[in-house]
Amino acid sequence: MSLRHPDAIGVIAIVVLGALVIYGGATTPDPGFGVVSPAAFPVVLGVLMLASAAWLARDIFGAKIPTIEPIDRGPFFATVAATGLYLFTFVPLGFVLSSLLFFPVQSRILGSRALVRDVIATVLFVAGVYLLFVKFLTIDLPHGPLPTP
Amino acid sequence: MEVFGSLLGGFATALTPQNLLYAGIGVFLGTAIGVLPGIGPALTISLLLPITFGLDAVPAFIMFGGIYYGAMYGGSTTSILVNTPGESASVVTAIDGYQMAKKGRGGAALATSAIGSFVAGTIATFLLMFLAVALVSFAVKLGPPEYFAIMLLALAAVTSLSGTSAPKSFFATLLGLALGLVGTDNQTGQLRLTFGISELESGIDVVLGAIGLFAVGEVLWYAATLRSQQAEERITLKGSIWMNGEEFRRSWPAWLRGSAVGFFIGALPGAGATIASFISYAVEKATARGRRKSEFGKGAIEGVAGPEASNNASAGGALVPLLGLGIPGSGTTAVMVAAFQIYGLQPGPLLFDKRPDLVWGLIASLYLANAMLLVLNLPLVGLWVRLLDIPKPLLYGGILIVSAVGVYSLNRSATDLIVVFVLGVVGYLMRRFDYPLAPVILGIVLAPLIDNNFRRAMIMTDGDVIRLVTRPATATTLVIALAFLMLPFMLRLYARRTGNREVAELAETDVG
Repeated sequence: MSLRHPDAIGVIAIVVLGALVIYGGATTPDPGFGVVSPAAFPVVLGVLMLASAAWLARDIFGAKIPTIEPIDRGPFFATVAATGLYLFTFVPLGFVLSSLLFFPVQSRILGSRALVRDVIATVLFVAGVYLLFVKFLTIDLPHGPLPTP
Repeated sequence: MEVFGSLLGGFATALTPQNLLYAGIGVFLGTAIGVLPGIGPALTISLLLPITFGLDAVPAFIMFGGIYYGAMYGGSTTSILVNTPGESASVVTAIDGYQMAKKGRGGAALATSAIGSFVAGTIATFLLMFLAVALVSFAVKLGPPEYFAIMLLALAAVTSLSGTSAPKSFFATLLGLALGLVGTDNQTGQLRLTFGISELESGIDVVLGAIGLFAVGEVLWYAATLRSQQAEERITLKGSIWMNGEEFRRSWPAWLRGSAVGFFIGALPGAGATIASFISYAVEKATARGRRKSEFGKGAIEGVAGPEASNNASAGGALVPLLGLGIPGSGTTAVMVAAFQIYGLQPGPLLFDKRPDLVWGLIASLYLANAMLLVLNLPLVGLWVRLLDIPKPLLYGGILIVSAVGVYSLNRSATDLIVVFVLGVVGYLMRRFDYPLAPVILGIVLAPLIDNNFRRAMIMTDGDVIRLVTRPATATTLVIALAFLMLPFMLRLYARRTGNREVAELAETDVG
């Protein structure tokens, strides 16, 4: 297996995950009743994950290294950061504030340059989702520092 | 005849002005979201699940019937007019549908797609009633060993038919199963795979899996391929949205063949709408004679009529194992299980006894949803196409906001949002490195069921695995599961030996 093969990192990730699942399964307490311990299934899954890693490693061993399209690093990493930040701040900042901040930023990351249009779309969209969920479907969304409606 | 009496009861439930309105809203929203590129039926249902939260179970499921068929139909319009399939099951439709549109026959392609979907959906729902009821009377005789084997069969089928690399598909299934085991073991109350994180004790809901892997993953995919996104070449619809006499005569046999192929492929665990549409296309090409055969790839109406019919028929077929056995056979029906669980219900044979109003109301609503699709879709085709005018940056930002709201409204949990983010990154990486996603979703749903049934079966056989796997029904099912696992290898071998390109494509098809 060549480490230059794009799937080599996958093999390593699967091995780590398999080991983690085996560890998680093996440390499950067994209350001692029933024929099969609750640890059994996770441990079997972890072992099978290691087997799938070996299978994948065998498949790519000596195989021609394929070329994969490079990614657009800027928009990708900015989207990962913006999405992560949005989902992490959704509860503390509340739906309205976090969404009003996220939507135009994310649109700009994805190539939009029409700021006025994006701001109008943001306000309309956030208001629409809010009305649908909070007023019509009576589902509570986090309000953050804003007063409770 | 009992079936028709129950169906009449279902129509009595469904045919109230309020429920008709919910069915109509479901069809409209299912189609509108399903039209958007990159959003398949599983994600459409996951995104729209929260809007049913405020409803009682019966109207919620009637709405769901509409969303389900609407989502299945949604991809065809963009396949025909924009050459951009909304989801993988519409890829085949684009081959001849787009060519027809370029030749000024887009109206006829849309008409054969809509009417074919209606015909196929109606036939499939009719067959679903009888098969599901027959399956229920069979299912009540099954015990944990048989259920365990059937679930392994479903997983084996999805694993073998998903993706292009066997070890990657195998790993995707294992990942789904591991995610499905996170949380409290419901037989012993012990915590598994939570690694001390108390917020994970209640487990990972399949809706989190679907939204994380499909929605967040799709947005990250779009961002990562931003500069290589090609401008859509859209065909303006000209003339009437109808078929001429010859097109109609060529369409109806394809609708019937597509209905038969779609229903039976859809009812098989693992083989969803994508496989059904590919097989239907191959059947249409094989049955065409003379000049018509050479039209395939250049605008043959059968190449649209058959796959579109099979696509919708497979949606009905996929409900057979779900309603009859309580076992989802695809990513989309796995998300449907979540919808049942939200109302404290478990699909399967007991539901027919416990909540016949709900089951038959759902089946009746499928007939209604089909009729509504036909009435709504052709007049609203302009609206569906205009949805594609939404600038992509706004569309993807909107998807993330709706995803966050949907996830939060499930359990009011901030941890769920973090889980979805992590799953989104995982979903992107899996797509980037060609790992299928459908087995993950199915694994999340099936893991606790497989575990429970295996452990109960082991109690029945006093811990003897040999006694478990040699029970006749269990052994037969496990042999079929093994055959499914061998299927891709056999298809590739056959394609290599015969040089059959359709079979080769089928072997490489990802149902995810």
